Amino acid sequence: MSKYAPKVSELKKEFDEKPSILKGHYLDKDWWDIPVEFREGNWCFPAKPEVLESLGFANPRKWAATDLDWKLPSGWEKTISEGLKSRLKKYRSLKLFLDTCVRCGACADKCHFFLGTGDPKNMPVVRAELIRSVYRNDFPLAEKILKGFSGSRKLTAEVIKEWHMYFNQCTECRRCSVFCPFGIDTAEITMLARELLNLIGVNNNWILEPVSNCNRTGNHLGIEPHTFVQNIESLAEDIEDLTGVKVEPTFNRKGAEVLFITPSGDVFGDPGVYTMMGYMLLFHHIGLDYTISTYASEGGNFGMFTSNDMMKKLNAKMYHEAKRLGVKWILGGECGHMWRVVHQYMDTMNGPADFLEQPVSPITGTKFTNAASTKMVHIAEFTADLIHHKKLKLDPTRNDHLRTTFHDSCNIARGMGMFDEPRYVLQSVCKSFHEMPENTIREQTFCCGSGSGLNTEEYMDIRMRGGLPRANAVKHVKEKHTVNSLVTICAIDRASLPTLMKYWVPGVSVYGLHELVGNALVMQGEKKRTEDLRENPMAGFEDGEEDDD
Amino acid sequence: MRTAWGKLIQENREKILDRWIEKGLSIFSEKIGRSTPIGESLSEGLSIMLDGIEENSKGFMAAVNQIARILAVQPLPPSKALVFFLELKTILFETAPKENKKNALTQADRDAFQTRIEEIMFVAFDCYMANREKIYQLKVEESKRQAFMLLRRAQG
Repeated sequence: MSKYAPKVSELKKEFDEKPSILKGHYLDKDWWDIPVEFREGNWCFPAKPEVLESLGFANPRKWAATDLDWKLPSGWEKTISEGLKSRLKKYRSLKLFLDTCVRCGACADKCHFFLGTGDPKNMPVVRAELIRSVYRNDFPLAEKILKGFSGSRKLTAEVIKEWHMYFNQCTECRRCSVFCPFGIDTAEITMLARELLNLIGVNNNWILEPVSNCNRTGNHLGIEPHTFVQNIESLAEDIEDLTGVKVEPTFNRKGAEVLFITPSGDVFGDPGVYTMMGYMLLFHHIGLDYTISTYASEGGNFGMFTSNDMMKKLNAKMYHEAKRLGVKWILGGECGHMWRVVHQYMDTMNGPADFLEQPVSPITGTKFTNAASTKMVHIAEFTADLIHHKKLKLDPTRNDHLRTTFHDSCNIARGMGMFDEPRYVLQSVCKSFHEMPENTIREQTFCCGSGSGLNTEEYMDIRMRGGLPRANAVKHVKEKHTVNSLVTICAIDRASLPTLMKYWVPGVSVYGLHELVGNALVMQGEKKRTEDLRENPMAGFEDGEEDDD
Repeated sequence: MRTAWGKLIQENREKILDRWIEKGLSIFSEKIGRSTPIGESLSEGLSIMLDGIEENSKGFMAAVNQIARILAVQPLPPSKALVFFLELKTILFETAPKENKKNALTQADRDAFQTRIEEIMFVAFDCYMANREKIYQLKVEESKRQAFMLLRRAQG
């Protein structure tokens, strides 16, 4: 038996002695008096000291959330208090979000973490209240007078622990915001809370190590330029083996028309690499004049989960590289939070990008007026436009081995309002498509449960619980329509949903949209295709059978 | 149903199921409603289990696994997570007519049901452990997938 397993006597003692809501111990207490409890599986490892030092972030030290003393820096109360004060002044939205909530509770049962854990502090209204209660105590004058009636409390180390627990049980997916009558963006409250926690060194290594790597080499894994190039060239070789077509991506090429930026997960992770192969086949098919930067080698931006300044700094490389290479516009790959940053923040953070042109598809002549300001186009829009103008030779029967459904990535759906383009592309390249239930897709989509830098292995139990609502919806279409493929347009989804599916809905694989495009594209000069990009046999195209093409 | 206790369950299905679901939901430290994903999945699983309670059919095993999969990612030790499977015994014996009444369970019936509940408990524990192991296996697989190209290069 594991040496870590508790003894029966210990369990009995715990059950008998430990206070519990079920035993009525907190009946006469306020919600904030219920203590948080860190245990294996419900907290993310803190940032390594060297990671913080490389970024110049506060309070590098060795610690764990299960420690009694978190070694907060002296004067941390003042740091948080002044940090909040300055941000309230800087971000009018934050002040508005803190002041306007009437606690109607419309958001309560919309959060996947609340649905998956049942913990009342995971209701978005209460999660925001964790900060609001401190704000009320410290700031508005009227609340000071009404002290005791206004739900205010003092900032203590226990409050910090509570913030760390619950602002890391929010994936910034914004499903709650859809239902809020005031449109309060709880994701932005979480972003600000995490920013405040970073001021005193309360953090998450799975977020900050990629930030540090990005800061140094341009991408999350810290891949240096030569390895980045080798990886993509190796994928080009795979494409040649499978299709007989030689694709020739270029790197850092000045004067290219388009700069292509995608999350680095597409360059080094499985199944992202198959999506990368799909992009390369597409660009070759249409003869796109594009280049890939080995510095702006990451679409994702974990700065968004750290601080506004860090998000801005990491995002800046996109425009820097576009300027250095002299491209006309930027094409962005399949990513989630990258698009929230690009669509909602980039223009005012690092724009205007006057040196770029309003994007125009060189193949169809379509002007992407929606990207007139950012100069950056989403690949699903770009491909949908190509298909609409019949510029692609597609054979959707090559995806007959897949019965698909589509997972709307939170940031694409709710962060930029894109619902139909990816569905149009998917249904053009695959004949079998079934929607999940209405209240789990489009703007009401359920998060994968691992977004916003929580996709870490030590957090697996919470991730599985948070992802249960999404998994249940997939299970529904699997049982009803024998769906076996979950298609998505987000790198974190591609990394985390395979795990979620293997646990809750075994038998469903996860695909990137452009992987399916790559399967379906009929390339000029290709050899007979019998396998998809994963080297799985394609139904009806097996060796020895007649290929209709 | 073939057995006397099976017939008793069949006759009082709704009442027994309702109490069993209530017991199931009460193990969570937070209040979990019946219409939540956990509540629905648990209710569905227990309902299938109850209808096939007499033997380990394929459907019965799938239902036990469906519940064990939820329990394996909760912050509860197995001793607490699985305890409500045993509660069916209490519920059934409380539902059963008193001795000397019509359809009362004999001691032999009670012993047989006790044995069956123990069997179910072991099956549930197996499923629980299999799911815990799955979690650890998934952690390894996920790490490998994240470094897919690196491993591929290392392996030549």
